[in-house]
Amino acid sequence: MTTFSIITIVRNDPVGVVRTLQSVFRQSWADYELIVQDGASTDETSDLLRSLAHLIDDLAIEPDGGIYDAMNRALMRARGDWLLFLNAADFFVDDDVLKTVAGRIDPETDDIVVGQAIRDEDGEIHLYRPDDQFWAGSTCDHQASFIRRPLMQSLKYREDYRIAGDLDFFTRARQSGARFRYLPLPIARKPFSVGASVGFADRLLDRLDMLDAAFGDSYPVRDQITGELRADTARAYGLDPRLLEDRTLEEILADREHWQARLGQ
Amino acid sequence: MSNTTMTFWQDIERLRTLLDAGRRAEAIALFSALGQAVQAGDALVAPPRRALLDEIRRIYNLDRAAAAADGPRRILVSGIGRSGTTLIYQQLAKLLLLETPAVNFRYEPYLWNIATPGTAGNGFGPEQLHHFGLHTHLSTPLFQTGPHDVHDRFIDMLFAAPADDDPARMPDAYLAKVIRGSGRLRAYLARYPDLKIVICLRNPADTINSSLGMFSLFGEEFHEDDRPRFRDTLERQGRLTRPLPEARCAVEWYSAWWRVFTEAALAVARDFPDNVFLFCHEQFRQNSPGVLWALEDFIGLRNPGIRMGLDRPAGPSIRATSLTSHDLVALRPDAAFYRETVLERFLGEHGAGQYDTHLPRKYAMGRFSFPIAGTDLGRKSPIQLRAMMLRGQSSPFLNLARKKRPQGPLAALLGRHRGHNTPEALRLPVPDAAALRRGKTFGVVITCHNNAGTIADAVLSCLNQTLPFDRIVVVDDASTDASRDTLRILADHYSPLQVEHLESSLGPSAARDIGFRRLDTDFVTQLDGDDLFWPTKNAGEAAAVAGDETAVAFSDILLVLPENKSLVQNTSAYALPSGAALFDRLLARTRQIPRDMTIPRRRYFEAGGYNLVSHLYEDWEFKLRLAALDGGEWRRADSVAGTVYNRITPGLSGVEPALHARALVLIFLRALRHGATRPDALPAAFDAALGIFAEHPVARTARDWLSAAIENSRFDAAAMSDLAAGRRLQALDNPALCALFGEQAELARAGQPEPEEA
Repeated sequence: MTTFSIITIVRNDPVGVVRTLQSVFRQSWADYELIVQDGASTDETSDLLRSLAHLIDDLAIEPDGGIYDAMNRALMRARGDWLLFLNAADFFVDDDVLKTVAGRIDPETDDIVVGQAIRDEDGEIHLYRPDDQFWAGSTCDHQASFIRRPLMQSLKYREDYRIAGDLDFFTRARQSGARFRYLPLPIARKPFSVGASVGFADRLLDRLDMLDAAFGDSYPVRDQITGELRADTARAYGLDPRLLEDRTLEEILADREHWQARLGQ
Repeated sequence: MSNTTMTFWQDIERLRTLLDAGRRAEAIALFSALGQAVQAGDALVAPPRRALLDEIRRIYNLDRAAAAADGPRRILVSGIGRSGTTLIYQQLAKLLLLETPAVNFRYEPYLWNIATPGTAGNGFGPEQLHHFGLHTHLSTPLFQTGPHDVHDRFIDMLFAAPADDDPARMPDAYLAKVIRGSGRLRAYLARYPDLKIVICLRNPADTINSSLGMFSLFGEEFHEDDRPRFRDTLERQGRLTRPLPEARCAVEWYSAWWRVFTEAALAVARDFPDNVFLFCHEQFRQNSPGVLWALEDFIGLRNPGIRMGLDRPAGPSIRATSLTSHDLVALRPDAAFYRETVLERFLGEHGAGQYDTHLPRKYAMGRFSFPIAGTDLGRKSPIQLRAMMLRGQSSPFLNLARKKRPQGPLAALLGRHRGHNTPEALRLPVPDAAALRRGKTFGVVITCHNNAGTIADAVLSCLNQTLPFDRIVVVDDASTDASRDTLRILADHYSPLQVEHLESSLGPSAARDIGFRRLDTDFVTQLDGDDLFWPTKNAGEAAAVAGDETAVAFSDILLVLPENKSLVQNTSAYALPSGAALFDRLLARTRQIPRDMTIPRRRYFEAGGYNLVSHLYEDWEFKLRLAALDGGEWRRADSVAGTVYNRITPGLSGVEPALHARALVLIFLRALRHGATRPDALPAAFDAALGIFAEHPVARTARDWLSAAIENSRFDAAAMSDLAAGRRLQALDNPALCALFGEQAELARAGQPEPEEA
């Protein structure tokens, strides 16, 4: 029997975590354990979790050293065959997700099974890059990725990233030979606006640093991301992309910050 | 001699004593009151008495205009918006114009550039805005007592400018009217000591209601700057006696403005008795001839102009009622202040007392319409409004105001079901709220999920309680319809209202639970966004709990059915002490279970609160746990009804029977651990609780297990309960659940111990 460990990390998000757990408890596949890691919330989140404690296999309410530390703490306690990080505010698309995935996973050939994440705001599928562009990031969403437990427990998350810890994990998994399989199967809905509290530039630079260190020697990481930023900026501000051709990535980021302050876009 | 005759001559005697003693201010006040009394009194003796008073004025030089006889007359009409200033401005304009055509008029110069004796026909469009006036208003402190560069030039423009129609000469009189200058009257007097000021006074309920139907007291026709400035000024001056709420347009803001500027105006009248005439709106309604006589006397002119066209309203009159019960209660301290400082002085104690009952009754019994002031509509210019009308456009406010009410007017239900109550008893705020509250606070959580058509009425039914709630938390469970707009407007207007928007929909149980966590009152109750509260619900239930934080109170339920039908469901079966008997009755679900009870907030959590992950019969499950708590009592309130329950739109009847049966079975089993029902009574209770769903396979197999366990002495309430509460069971579909119950029944019959977990 395929068993899952669903791991939910939360801090100060009472509504999000209840939404997440409601979708977990409705699953028609009973062979899962639920691990909830609450980073000592200061609002009613912890109280709500305590009132649900009889339904949670492993509830820890304790201060942590950031999101990736919290994820590692929960990760190391997991016992299921396959891990899924379904953090507060993410939720399963329907009641049969685990049952369906259990029927599709092949423990002989799979290490990481990646399904689709749906953008909660508009119901659109979050698109991944083509497989041959793994070095440019955006290859999977953790909300939709089932990961073989021993693989993940040995690699863990690196805690020195603020944003790109996920990407870093998937990158290291790829470099250590993990086998990825992509399924055209919606797994979870994810509010993309949540977690965007860190600025656009910070997120982009965090990701660039990570990818550049891993693949910069073999692939044109910086050029690719700069080109994408140019195209995105031109689109967002209604500019001819050629006007940005000579701008570096840092210059465009500075431009955007300046324009946003002035124009409020 | 009659009493009034005696009084008149006694007053004349007192007047002479005051004048001989040099107490001129008191003498002038008495003289004015005497004149008004004569005017209102016996028509036969009035002419000789008026002649006597005129003679006294001449002898003692009581004509307050005499000092200014050499120069032009300077007259300022001042008041808080909607206190009758436009009426007096227009009557004084006619009084002056019959004397001389050379008058400079300025109507609302802090905002408008209108220099006419009447307001009719003025467009009040942006092209008429007075830029210097606006600049003056915004750059002069709200309270200004002495010289000020900008304001002084503004005052000169009003009271020292050449004649409007002939700049080569000076006018004979100046007349201006302002509603934004009550805090600056001393500055006017400092610059023009001969200035005569008519201060218009009106009770807070009428003033504020009238402005709510039109524009805010904060001059927000075109800008909002007065509001934060007002708060900052009061804070700086240490005059903020009551906290100003977050809700920008709440009646508390208006009453603070009314109070502070009424006090300021009264203080000016006290310090400058020769310069100020207090025009009491309520006195004018009762005795307009007397008040006008005294006003003529104050100005120093007598002619029919002041009485011309009095039957025509001055400016738009607001007949709508926009005050809720909450608002009426919030205005009580200011109404008491107005009574003591103004009404008793002008109407006597008896006359003033009539307003104590008249005003609340007028508003509580009136037909409610949403306040326009401060809404998107209230902030539009007349030109914008006209364009909207021409194009048939709408706005969030208009959508709210024009909303069709699916439940029909509550008024019809109030008439049909009022029982032994008078209509007033159902609408007027209770006189002594503190006695009912017994030091406790009461709050309500309203849950809303796409209830755009009904949510405003639900909120209003909580604001119009005869004992208003201290706090109203609306949890908007991720609505995608217009509820959000509606709630934003409501939260802008009512201080007890707190709106919590959930970013994703959690269902009613979790939404209510989050609401109770964010509510900070001693007692809490709940309301669905498509239901209403009967107006005496909170008063009745507060009286029933009587401050006892172990007691639970409930009322009967008024069902509103299709085809304009309604009926009251009796809930008296549940008026019992907490414990076994109450639990057993609830478990069998045979009598109508109370809805939306008033419970101590503490008890909500002691009972474990709502099941956050269940959406069917969650109320029943919670009440079973609540009933099982030790101590306390469930008490039925003496109110016609509590909830007005909407059964017009289908609720749970749309859910398939299998889900009903499953939910009822699992809740029944889960509850077993909390009660002490005798095992042999359980099968009957089970059948009763399942009702029409008793024959569903899930129900039949569960009942079989229950009977088998009882018959074979294998019944273990805690184990059964835990199995039903466990997560594993939730994952089973109904056939698998039936199979599990079947296995358990087999085990019970075989005499095997039940496994700990299936």
